Amino acid sequence: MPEIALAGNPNTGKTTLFNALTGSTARVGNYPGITVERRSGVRQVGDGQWSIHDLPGCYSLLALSPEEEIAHQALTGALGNPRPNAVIVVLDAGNLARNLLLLMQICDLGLPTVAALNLMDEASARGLSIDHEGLSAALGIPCVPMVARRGEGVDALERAVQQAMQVPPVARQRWQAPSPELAAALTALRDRGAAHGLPPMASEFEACWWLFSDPETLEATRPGAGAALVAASGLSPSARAALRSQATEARFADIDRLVAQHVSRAPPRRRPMTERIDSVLLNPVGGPLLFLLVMGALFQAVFAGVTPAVDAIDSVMAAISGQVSQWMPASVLRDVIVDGVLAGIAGTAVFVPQIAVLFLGIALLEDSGYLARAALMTDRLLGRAGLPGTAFVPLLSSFACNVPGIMAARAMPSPSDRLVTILIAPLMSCSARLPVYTLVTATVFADAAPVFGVLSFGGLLVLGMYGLGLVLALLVGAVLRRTVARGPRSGLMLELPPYRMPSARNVALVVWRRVRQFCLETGPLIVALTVVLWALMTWPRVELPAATRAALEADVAAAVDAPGRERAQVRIDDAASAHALSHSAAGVIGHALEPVIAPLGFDWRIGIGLVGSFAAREVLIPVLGRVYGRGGGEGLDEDAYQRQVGGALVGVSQLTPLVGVSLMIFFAVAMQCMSTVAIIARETRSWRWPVAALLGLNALAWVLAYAARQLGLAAGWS
Amino acid sequence: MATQGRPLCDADAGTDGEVLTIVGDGRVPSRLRELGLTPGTGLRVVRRAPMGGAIVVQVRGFTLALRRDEAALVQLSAIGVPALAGGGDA
Repeated sequence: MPEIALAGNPNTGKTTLFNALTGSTARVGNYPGITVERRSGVRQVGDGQWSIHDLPGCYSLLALSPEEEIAHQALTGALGNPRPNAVIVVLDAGNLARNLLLLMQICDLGLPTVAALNLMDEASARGLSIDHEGLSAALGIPCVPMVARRGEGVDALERAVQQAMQVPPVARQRWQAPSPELAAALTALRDRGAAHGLPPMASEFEACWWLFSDPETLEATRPGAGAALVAASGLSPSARAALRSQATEARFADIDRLVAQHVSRAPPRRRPMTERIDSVLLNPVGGPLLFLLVMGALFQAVFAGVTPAVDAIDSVMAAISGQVSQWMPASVLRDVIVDGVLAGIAGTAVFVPQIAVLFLGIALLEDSGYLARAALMTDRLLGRAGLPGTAFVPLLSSFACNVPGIMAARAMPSPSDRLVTILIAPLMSCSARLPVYTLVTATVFADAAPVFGVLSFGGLLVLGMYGLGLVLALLVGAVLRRTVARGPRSGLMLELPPYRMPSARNVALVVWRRVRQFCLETGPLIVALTVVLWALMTWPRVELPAATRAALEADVAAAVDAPGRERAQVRIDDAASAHALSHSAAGVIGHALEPVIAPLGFDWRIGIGLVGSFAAREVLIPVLGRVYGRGGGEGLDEDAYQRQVGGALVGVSQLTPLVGVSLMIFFAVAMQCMSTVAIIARETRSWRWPVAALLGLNALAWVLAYAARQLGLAAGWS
Repeated sequence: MATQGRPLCDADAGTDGEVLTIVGDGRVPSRLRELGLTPGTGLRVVRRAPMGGAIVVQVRGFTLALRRDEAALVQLSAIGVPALAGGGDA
């Protein structure tokens, strides 16, 4: 099957063309060893099929960082990719002066190359007319005008690629060393390279690529090559940089000539639409206000807008579980299926509405061009954590739920920025933490005197937890930047694309791919973890001691009326459930944790709660309810059940206001969520980072909860 | 090499100028050159972005946003403020 690579600058409609070529066949994977997405799909062409690979968008093949090198490596047959049979370079027709640099570099690689002059409609709306035949002749490769969004030109592109593979076009070798010094340096490098362990350089451009590469980047991708380059070239970094800028200037001089010959421009009739929209959206006053409005709406949609869908999924899954329980005879297998597997599937499915809504919002913002403006406006703010503005949406959505938030970090171009964002996202107080905060504040701070006479103390405390998460995220981010994700903060140098109407097809494909990938890749992990957690909370099965059961049964017999008997019967079930849980593996772990968490003021019962709430933080409440012998809250309204659990927390586990604060801090900071562990494992393609985040954040949570308690004790609180 | 230009980061919105040189040879200057900011290229400062002072320029027919410290590397010559009636070409 021929391998076709799709290359191009960012914002050229490359992804739209990829979608038009491959439709729903596209699969998203990863390049080995790096967290950069690798998208590929299949196109039916006549009787055969093409395998199409969408390379990361880039401005130049001369990489400045390891992730920028991917396009070059993929084109030259490294990274486990076969050397492609043909390359399609997507260009923004309205922007040839900038786009031609990459095209000419790729032509110099000597592969069969076809240029797709995309966005022709926008170019002509801006008064540009492009002589694509003249350009084809000048470059020596076919240039196909097209509007990928409307499918125009896709067939002509296909024919051109087919032809190019049969009779490889002879791209004009445009590259010429612009000065004798550069020519001499290139010859020297080609002659001496092999002696220093550099690969043979087939063309002038390849020699150029080596000469201009950043030794640090080379060292990161091919150990040993950086030092070899420095030795073989015999030039200082600044001499090489000077030659590099000379070469770039020569390229642009060539490009300027081409554009002058083949592009003509009628004066635009009026100020471009994009500029007029920007004068509102980037207005010093209106810009930030509209930004808050847009981001507020996105957050609200993910936070609250999905509730009906989540409720519907919950009730459907509950109905399915109920049916299965009825069909199957009571057995261990039934329990595994209902309480393990089906619960895990339900636990996966409830994320789907959030993921769908978030990626719908992101796709609309990105395709319309607003996301680049949003990144621009938040760049300085996030700079304090050493992050670029593109981290804003992932971190914001993490306040609704860490799982889709971490997935949203995919849009970040730099892997090290992305890693930092993924690792600090769990510190954003997600909506599952709110029930835990409410439990504590309603239990121990309900009667606290309002601050300044009006502000609820509990409310302020909850707000404080959000603030704590944010501040820690900035600090942890800064630490990670100086340790595991070192390197300069990536540059802004952000292109602001023209505003465009998002295409429904593109947006739908983005949402579909994300949901599908989450269900197929992260879903099984969540199911597996749910089964494990359920097993821990179920085995070994220990029955209520006979004497206790007999005493409780005597209560049933002694009850004077039917409701009394029923209540006594429920008490037996609750006591059996509490006994079983506290003797299960999770119960044993809870007991074993007691010495560790006692300094925080938590007893073994809260320990079991910490283990059980790993399924999802809000599950702390029903798990504690079971431990305290109050059942799982069946048939009680939420407030009443919360009051019961809260009462037991105070009465049995001696929850004081101070211990309540340390419990809140623990939940604000700790990574108490197996779905977050699963998504970090998926997104970073390793178990190293989720385990590190789990241990690191939980240790940090312990230290802060301990410090809060000690400070409180020292101040005379209890 | 002495540069007598004025750094882009000090230019006001509406300024028209020409790139005199890009200062330095690190990653950022290299990328700026490859984005087409070569000597003699005309550019116009469109606006300063809210919340942080990034600078938005029109160059070679596209819109580019630069941080202040990135814009400081671009030295402009031939600075002029165009007539207020919306200058046609970018």
